[in-house]
Amino acid sequence: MDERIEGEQRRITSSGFWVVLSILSISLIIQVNVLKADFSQYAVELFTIIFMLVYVGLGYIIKGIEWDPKLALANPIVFSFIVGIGVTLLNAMTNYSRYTKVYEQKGLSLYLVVLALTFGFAFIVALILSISFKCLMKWRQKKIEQELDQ
Amino acid sequence: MMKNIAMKLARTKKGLSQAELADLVGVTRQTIGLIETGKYNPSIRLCIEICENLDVTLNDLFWEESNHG
Repeated sequence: MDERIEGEQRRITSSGFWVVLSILSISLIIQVNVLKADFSQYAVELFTIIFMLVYVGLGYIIKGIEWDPKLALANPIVFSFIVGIGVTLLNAMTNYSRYTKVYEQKGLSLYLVVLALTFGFAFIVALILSISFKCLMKWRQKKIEQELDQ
Repeated sequence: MMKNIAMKLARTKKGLSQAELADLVGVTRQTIGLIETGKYNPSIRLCIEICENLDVTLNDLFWEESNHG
C-alpha cells in the first residue's frame, strides 16, 4: 500500500479515536450531572472510556513510548492535581444538586469538607496511578535497552 | 520543503509520466506529485525504490545542496 495513504489513514483514525473519546466523556458528564441517570444507564460509556484509556496506556508501555518530560502533564504531581480538580468540580455539581437540603440545614462548611475529601482522594488515586505508569514505563525502557545491547 | 526538480527531470528523461512511475514503485500518482512539489517526504525505502526505477542515485535526487554546502 502507498505509505503516504497509510500515514494519512492512521492520522484520520487517530483523530477519530479522540473525537469518539471526547463525545463519550461529554455524554457521561451530561448523564451523571444533568440527567441524573442511574449507573446502569451510563455504565457502558464509562467502561468504554476506561477500556480506551487503558488500551492506549498499555500500547504506550508496550511500544516504549514515553511522554515528553518537558510536558507539565508528564509530572505525576501536576497530573494528579489537574485530575483532582476535575473530579472535584464534577462532584461539586452532582453532590450539591443531590443534597441541597442537607447542606442548607448543616451549612456550607460540610459541603467544603466533602469537596476537600473528594480532591484529596482523587489526587492520591491519580498520583498512585501515574507513578505506577511511570515505573512501568521505566521498566519497559530498560528492557528495550537490554534488547538493543544484545 | 523545496521542490524536487531533480526527480522531475530524471523522470522525464526516462520518458515516464507521474502515473507510470507511481505504478512502478507501488504508490499513487498523487504521492509522486507531492514528492516532486516538495510537499511530502518519502521514506528511505520509497526513495530507494524511485531511484532504482529512474536509474539514478539517492544523492542525485534527494541530496539538498543548500543544507549541506
